[in-house]
Amino acid sequence: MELTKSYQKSSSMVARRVADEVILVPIKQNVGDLQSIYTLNEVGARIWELLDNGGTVADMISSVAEEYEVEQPKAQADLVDFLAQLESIGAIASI
Amino acid sequence: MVSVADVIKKMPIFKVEPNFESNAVGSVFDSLPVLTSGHVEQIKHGSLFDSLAADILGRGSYLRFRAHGNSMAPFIRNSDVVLVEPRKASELRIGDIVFYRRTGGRHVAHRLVSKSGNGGSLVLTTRGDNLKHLDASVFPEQVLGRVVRIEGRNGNLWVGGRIGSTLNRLLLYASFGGSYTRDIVRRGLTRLWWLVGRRFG
Repeated sequence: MELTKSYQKSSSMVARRVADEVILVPIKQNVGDLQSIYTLNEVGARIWELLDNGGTVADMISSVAEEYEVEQPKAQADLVDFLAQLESIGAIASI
Repeated sequence: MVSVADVIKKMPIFKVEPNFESNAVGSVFDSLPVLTSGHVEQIKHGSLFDSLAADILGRGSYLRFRAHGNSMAPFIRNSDVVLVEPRKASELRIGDIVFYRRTGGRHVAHRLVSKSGNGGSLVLTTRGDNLKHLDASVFPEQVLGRVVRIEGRNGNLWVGGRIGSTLNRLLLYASFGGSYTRDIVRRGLTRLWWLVGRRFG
């Protein structure tokens, strides 16, 4: 994954903040299926928020590393994997 | 706030080395973003379900979820999965299974018994197939759609087409009155419809 890439949230995903988590309901073939949803934990929810800033992957890595006090390579590995997961379920797309 | 953490099995997709800066074993995953899969249930996650249902149907998409309760049994049994099509109150036909939100309460899927105008505005009357009493009046702003597909234990039933509408109306008339005989007829018709209809569901 290129670190200079930016991602945006898909309009075919309904999101709800519930306490510290975020619930994602994909709209597939015009059906919102509550039997098949995704949950992002607290850190995932924070990254979901960061996507609104429109920054690059590198920007998000810096934010995560700083906020959660983890080393840059660790933050990068986790974030890149996580973004790939979000992309694979159609929650985000590269700009 | 409602938390779904208790009903969704946590499945970390990838692992990280323990965070040695912390002595707490439980903090290993604290800084790990995790994506898990699960479901939202009407009963357990009431307000979340209400909000998502209104949002999804409000944007013109269909809603699929697991229904709870026996008020529509045996047509819709407890834990059957239903598909709701977004529809306005004015578009509904007598016999349709209306999906609406009770005033200050939860969502309900009950059969439309009658439509009437009250000073120019539409008023709907609904009832659960398995209930003796009518529901409180339903107003257009409460209506979100109608059930068009039921995924039961023994197959799926499509009730959204023209034939489905006719059979829906027939089933409504069969169940009027709530007498023992009518109840037998209603259950018989429901069973017959499921036996034939599930082949095309």
